[in-house]
Amino acid sequence: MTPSPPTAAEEPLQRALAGEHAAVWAYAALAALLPADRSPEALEALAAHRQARDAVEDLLRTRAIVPVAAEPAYASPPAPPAVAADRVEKRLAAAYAFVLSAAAEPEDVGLAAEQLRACAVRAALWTGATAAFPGLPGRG
Amino acid sequence: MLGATGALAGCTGGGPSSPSPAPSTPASPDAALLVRVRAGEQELVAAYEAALAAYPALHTRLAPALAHHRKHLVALSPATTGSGTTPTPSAPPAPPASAARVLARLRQAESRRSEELLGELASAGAPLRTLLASVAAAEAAHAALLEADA
Repeated sequence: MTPSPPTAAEEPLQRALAGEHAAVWAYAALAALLPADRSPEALEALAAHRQARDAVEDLLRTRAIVPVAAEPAYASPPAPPAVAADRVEKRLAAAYAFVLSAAAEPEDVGLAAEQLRACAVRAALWTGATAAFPGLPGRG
Repeated sequence: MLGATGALAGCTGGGPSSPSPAPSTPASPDAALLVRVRAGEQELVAAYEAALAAYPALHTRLAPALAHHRKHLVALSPATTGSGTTPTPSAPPAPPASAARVLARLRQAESRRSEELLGELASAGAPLRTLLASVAAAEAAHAALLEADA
């Protein structure tokens, strides 16, 4: 199989995938750190990010693009855990907004919009607040 | 990173020539879409304003989302996007008879708008669809917060 030449949509997808790898690592760590009453939320987020990671990987593989792998290790999530979770979600929301701005395929648009929304909802539930323009921090 | 603000002005095509001749015939698919999206945002603003007028005690909970919707309207305005007309919103329904019902109705309205916006993405140009997806995400987050606080 001949790999396709890189497209403008490839780098944003790879960045989103890298963000999902980091999110999976962070939530696995947070689930262990959080008190029992909040660890189910971390486990739910962990499952959601694994699913999103797999979806982005599948999208890349169908285009004969090798998906980026997870790093061997990540920096420990900062305390408190809600701050760490919020940071993870906001970075990923921005990564998916980048996917949206470069996407050429409807399936990329659909996936990125759904994931941007899911990140915004999780960030809101962790912090009790949302931004006016999730994923677009420059807009305030 | 995205440059969405500046790029939006270019998404409606047409350049400096020929403004849209009438509200019913917008100049481009994005212009028609913007008219619909603005109408939806104005309905949300009106619903929040009516809720706050009837239940001032909800100010702390509702003011942030209302401020967001006003920002959305500015971002989607003809001055920002360079196209379209501003629709006149229909009068909002009278607020329900209890604060809890008001919150439930706002939550439903936010969820519905979020879904509608995602449904519009396929027909939007890239800069506009990024903005619309962000607005849809904010609305889903508002709905989640309204539910979480209930």
